[in-house]
Amino acid sequence: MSLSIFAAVLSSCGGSKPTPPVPPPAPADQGSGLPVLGTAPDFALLDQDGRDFRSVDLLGKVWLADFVFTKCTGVCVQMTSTMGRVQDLMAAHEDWKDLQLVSFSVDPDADRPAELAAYAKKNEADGARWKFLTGTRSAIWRLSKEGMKLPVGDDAPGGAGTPIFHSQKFVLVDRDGRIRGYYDALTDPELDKVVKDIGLLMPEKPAEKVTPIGTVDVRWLKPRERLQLAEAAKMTAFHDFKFTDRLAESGITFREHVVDDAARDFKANHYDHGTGLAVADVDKDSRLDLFFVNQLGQSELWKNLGGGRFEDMTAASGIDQHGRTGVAAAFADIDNDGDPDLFMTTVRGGNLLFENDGLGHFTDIAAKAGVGYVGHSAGSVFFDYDRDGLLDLWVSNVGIYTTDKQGRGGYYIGVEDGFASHLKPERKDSSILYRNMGGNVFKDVTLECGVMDFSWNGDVTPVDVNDDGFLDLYVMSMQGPDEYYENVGGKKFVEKSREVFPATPFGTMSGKVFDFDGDGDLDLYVTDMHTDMAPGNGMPPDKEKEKIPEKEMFPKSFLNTSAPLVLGNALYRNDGNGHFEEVSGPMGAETYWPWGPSVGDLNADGYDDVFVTAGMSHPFRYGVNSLLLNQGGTKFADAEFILGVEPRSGGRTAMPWFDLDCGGADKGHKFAPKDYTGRAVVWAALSTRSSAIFDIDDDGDLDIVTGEWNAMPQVLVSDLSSKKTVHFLKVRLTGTKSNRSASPGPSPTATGSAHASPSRSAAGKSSRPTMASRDTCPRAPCRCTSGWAKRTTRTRSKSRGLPG
Amino acid sequence: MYVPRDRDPRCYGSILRRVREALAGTVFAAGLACSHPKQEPPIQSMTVEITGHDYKWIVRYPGEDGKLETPDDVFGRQDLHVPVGVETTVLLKSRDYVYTFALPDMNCREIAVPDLEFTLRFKPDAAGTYELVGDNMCGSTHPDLLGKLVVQTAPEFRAWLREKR
Repeated sequence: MSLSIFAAVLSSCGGSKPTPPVPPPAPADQGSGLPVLGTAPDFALLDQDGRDFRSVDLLGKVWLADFVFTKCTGVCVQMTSTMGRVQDLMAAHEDWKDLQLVSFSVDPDADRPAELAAYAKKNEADGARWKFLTGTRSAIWRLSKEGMKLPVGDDAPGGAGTPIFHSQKFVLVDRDGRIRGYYDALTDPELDKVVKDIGLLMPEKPAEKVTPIGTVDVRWLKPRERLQLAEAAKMTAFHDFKFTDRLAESGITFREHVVDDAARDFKANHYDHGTGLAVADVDKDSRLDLFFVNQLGQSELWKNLGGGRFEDMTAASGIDQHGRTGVAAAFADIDNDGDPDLFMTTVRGGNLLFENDGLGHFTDIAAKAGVGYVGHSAGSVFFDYDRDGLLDLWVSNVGIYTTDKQGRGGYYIGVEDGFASHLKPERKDSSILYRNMGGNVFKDVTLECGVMDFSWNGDVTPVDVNDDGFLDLYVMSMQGPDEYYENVGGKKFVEKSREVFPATPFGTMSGKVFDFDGDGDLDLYVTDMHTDMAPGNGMPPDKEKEKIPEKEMFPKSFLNTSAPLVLGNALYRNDGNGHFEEVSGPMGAETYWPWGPSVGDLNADGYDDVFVTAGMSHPFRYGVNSLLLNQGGTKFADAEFILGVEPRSGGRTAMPWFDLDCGGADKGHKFAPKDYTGRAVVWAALSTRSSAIFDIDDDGDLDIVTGEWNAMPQVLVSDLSSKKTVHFLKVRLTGTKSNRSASPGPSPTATGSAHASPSRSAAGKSSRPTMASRDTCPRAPCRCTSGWAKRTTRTRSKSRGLPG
Repeated sequence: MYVPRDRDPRCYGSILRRVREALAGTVFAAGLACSHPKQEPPIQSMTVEITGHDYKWIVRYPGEDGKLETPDDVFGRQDLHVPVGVETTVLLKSRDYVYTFALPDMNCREIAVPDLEFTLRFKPDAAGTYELVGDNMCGSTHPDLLGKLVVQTAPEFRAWLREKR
């Protein structure tokens, strides 16, 4: 079936516009009689001791919150006094022992932990029972305004001229994070009401915690950690440094929201592949900014302020996805004007192309540019296939995995058998190759270039396999063998899949091209998620580094291919003559439940390391994100525990996923406890879908930002630069003979770069090497080449990247 | 049904429901805004909608059809006008933040919460001007949230409403 026919089919069933998300109905209260007024927001902040403190830490507790600041001489004094009175009452109420008091500072720039600790001491606060929290101004103000629905601002309404105005309401939150009361508690009658309502809430039981099929059992995690730490002594690569999750300090408040297929139904459908993130300097301030794609709700652009702090610039940027279901994104300079433009894929909402005016203001030009395809798009990559100096575009279309029925938020409800879709030809769809014609107009050249690919393709990577100066395409299939198309002089592509890559994984989600062994040739690493689904409940924790046993692989009838398969990740070592040997086993590159890799020289030793995002949520157990530390090109060693990536901040491995009204709307639900008619909360494992490696805080070492599934990101900041001397340079590219941004980025110019690597998107291909960190070049002189992707740590004999 | 606030002979407590579950149109006594004063029947009851938005109260009164959320609705700001001796229902909402709404002389006090609707009922028994109190916020005098409850005779109220239209 031709592409145009498929396009027509999708257009006809995608006509209705998505509607904005609406809140789910509030379940009934648990007996106190207090109404449910809303849901307390997720937050990640610092307490008065400088410790990471998150909303999830309050689950199971009744808590009373207010908003104050330490320099306030007005009503805050009374508010803190009132909170103190409640603290005093705790001593008199035996059943209040797990009541938590929380005071958020609305002047967080001034109220750092030390100031809050002094304020707490002055007010005789019990540090365990009364937390004073700070973060960034934008994070706390968003928490107040959007989360708690309480106003705060610089300019008081009515022109009062005060520096900070804020609500003087107290907020009462129950053990499940639901808001149950607002009080003007400065008057005795209202304080009496607070006391009365606390008394009502304390005996109220939290919702029944449901943890299906041991998804939150992580007893294996500690032994794994001990084992890895014991191995550290044998490690040859430099590893005396740590990553710390500094989400609170970053100010980032983005939280991914997911569609009900994943959020409530745990349907095995492609929605659970999550969303990507992308990185670029959108406003020419020489700092890399972050774009997080949201599945349900608005995606967000975060401006890098330096020092590891970010500010939400979504509204000012003009980026609006109009309620479309987001998947992935890629930055690229489509018109060689020196600023990154943004392409974003959606599920049946039409893909979006935003042109940047150079200052971080974006205008959607998808329709005019001819790239607004309506379908099930996923990854995308910009690359110059015909070497005319303009970036062309590949859009991966997965295949049809939705019905025409729409769910909450306007998304298209997924088919029940999405994971069998590769067996149903009527669901296939071709990915698209667009040629950049100049003037911000693209032309679909898929057919004329002979690159109609109907695999269940979620991502692709360009790589010049035959060293002829034209970028070939490695197309990753998530339900079938991968495909390879050789670029013939920038005119057409010829399929040579099994000829060049005789065996590939069955369930490839993403991959990276980089020179892992430092021999001057670009190698290829692809990560296979779906194969890890084969053994029923997934691989046991102690078998994660092994390939799936043949006998546990999917049956031939399901695989539907005669091609030889690699039963897990594949690491293809390039022998320099266009031959690729699969070496993932001996190189230690197998990982559990991987989505996608990001690549960067994390320890600045001249060899690229790999961060692999992982995990699924229900019905599978927690899976660690892998950090593969390159041992001088000879092997990858597992280092996620050694380097502080695991366990996660606070040891968190699971989170509440959704509520069940077991006696009402959800009666008979498969997760409802037997003979239970109250409220239940289903928990599921945390998991990561995408990541980016770049220097977020200008200290020369490489940090990691993740895109989490149905949760807030991790901002993993490296302290490498405090442990060893790190030299780095920043490169701003000019010239337009080749495409200006030198996209895509198969490998950084030196040893680190900005790489966003979503699980199945091409955002990883979107960013470019604006920064490189490196060691002191002990073995050879440093030199920057004019070409692309030539390693400069040592002189290389060959390069297989883009021509200069 | 949620009736948590202390009852008072003049303020009948509040009922909470989700905004999207609320009735779209509320019928109340016919003839409220009849164009022929001499033939106007007595006002039996009245429902108004009060919405907090950007630190202001927006008051919606029903027009001649006696129903809310129809094209002839009449809008006011800050002050609430009601006829004396008439049971008045307030549908309390917010478009952005949580606001306190209080009529101290009626012993009515409730919060307006985004996405939710509280219903208050009161019956003023004497004409006059009373306090309508909004939020107190640190650092702000929020004058637009301070208003008046103006209790008028039925003819005065009708005349005021016609003038507003």
